[in-house]
Amino acid sequence: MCVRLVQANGMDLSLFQFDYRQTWAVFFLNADQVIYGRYGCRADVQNQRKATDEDQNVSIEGLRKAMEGALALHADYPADKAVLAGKRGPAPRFARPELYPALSRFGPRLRPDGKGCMHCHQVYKAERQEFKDAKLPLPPRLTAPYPMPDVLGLVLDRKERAKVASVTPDSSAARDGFLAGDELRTLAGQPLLSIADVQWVLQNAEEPGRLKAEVLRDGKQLQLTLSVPEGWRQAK
Amino acid sequence: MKFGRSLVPLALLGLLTLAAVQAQDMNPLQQRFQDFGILGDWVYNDFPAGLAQARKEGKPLLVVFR
Repeated sequence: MCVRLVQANGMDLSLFQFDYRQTWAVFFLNADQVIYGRYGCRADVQNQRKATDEDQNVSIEGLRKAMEGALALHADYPADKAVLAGKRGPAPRFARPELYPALSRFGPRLRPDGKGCMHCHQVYKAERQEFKDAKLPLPPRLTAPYPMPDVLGLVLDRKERAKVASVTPDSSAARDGFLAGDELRTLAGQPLLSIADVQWVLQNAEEPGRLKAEVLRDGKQLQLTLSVPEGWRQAK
Repeated sequence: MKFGRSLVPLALLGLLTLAAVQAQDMNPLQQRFQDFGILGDWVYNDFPAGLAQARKEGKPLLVVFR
């Protein structure tokens, strides 16, 4: 069942948590609103409208593989229900975007003439505004949200689900023993369908922290640990 | 050759009619945004309707924010 949503008005913020600065984002879920996975990353370029698939770390092949993974999880459901719980985030401060004071001018629905459309990136700005209005420092999850796993030295192949294309020498991932060609099957217990799923785990990881990873290497399954050092988000 | 030429306006008329029929089926918002790039059976901008349909058919959901 395919659903296209064109605005953030009325969005359930307890369910749809992602990098709101993305120009497009995909969720795979079931009718119980259990999330199987996410797809889509924000491009690290100035002009988002001109971002290529490569800039956004996406591809048709990667999307197809993520969809196949979602269908496999759906076929087995509810076998993985407990581990999928981690794909939903903490309770949000506001249930819907228009409840943020900075977004109170918007209604819960788009008007039929298409006016009053709230964009997803406005949710991100409103969240930051909350901290500014309270004269509180912005937390790292808002100053450097959803960094790519590259920051830890894991460069993932955009045409795969979560396969390591290369490992940056002397990086945290290199010290943890990750190698090019490793397929990350789970991270912190969560099944991975995409790079966005890896970003999700990292975004919500404790800092400093250590995340258990199930990896497929040369057809054999092994357990590794991915270290998340203090200040890792800024460590590019 | 004459036969071929007479087919062109007919084909154009057919395409225009098809487009008009499809436009009639579209969500008003989809028409307003001229959002014609999606093909197949999509639920347009109505998450509760998509959820209800998925529940009824036992299917998973693919939700795209764009």
